[in-house]
Amino acid sequence: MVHDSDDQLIRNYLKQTEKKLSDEGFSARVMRHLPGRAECFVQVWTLLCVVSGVFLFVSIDGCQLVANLMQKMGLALLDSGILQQNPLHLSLITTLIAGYIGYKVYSNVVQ
Amino acid sequence: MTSSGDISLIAQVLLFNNKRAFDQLVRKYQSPVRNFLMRLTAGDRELSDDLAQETFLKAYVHLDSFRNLSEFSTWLIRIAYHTYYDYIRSRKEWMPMDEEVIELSHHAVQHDSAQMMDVYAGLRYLKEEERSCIILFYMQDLSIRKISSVKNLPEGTVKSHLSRGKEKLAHFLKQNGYGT
Repeated sequence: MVHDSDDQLIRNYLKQTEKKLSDEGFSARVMRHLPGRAECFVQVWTLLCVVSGVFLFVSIDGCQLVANLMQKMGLALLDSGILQQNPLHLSLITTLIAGYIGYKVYSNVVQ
Repeated sequence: MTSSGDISLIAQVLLFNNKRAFDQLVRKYQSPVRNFLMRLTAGDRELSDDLAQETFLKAYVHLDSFRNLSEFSTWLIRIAYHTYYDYIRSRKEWMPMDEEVIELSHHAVQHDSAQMMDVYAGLRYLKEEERSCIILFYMQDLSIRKISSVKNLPEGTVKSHLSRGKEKLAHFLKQNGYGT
C-alpha cells in the first residue's frame, strides 16, 4: 500500500537530485553525426518555382519580349550617340553587365 | 503545446534544413533528455549519452512527423524511451534480465555524489518497467495517460507498474534513512 507521504517522499527525493547537465561537447557531437535529411519540401518547392517560371515565360511570350527589349536597348544606345562619342563608355557598360551576369551564374553554380 | 520559439526553430529545420536551428534545439533539450536516460540506465553516463545522441539523430530525421499535439520535450522523451527500450530488447536477446541489472550497476558512474549514487541504487532496485514508469511520472511529470501513450501500454498496466515501483522505492528510501 502506498501512502501519500511515500508519494511525496519519492517526488521530493527524485526532484532534489535532478541537476542540469552541462553540454560538455554533447551538442557538437550530435551535430557532427547528423545524417542528410530528405529535403523533400525544398526540392518540391524549387521544382514548383522552376515550372511556374517556365510556364509564365512561355505564356507571356518571353522570347519575343526579351528580343524586343534587347532591340530597344540597342536603339537607345545608338540614339544616345554614346557609341560615336565615347567607345570607353560602351566597353564599361558591357563589362559591368557581363560581370553581373557572370557573378550570378557563378554563385548559382557554387550553391 | 510547444512554445512559439521551438516551433519557429522546427520550421527552420524543416523548410530550410537550417542545422543551426537544430543545434539550438539540441542545446536546449540535451539536459532533460540526458537526465532522463541517465535515470533509465541507472547512472551509466556513457551509455545514456550514446542513447541521447541516437535520440536526437532520430528526432532530426523524423522531425516532419512532429505534430505539435504535445510538448516538443514530451515528443523527444518518447523517442528517448523507445531508443532505450530497443537497446534493452537487443541486449535481452543474448543476456538474461538479472545479468543485465548487474551489468548496469557495474557501469554506473563512480564520480557522482553519494546522494546521486543512492538514487541510482534505488532505481536499480526496480524492474525496468517500474523504473521507467517512476521516472516518467515523477521526473518528467507525465500523466498516466501520457505514460501509457509513450510506452504503448494500457493505463491499467502503467498504474500497476507505478504502484509497485512506488512501494519498492519508498521502502528503499526509508531503509536508507530518508523520510524519517
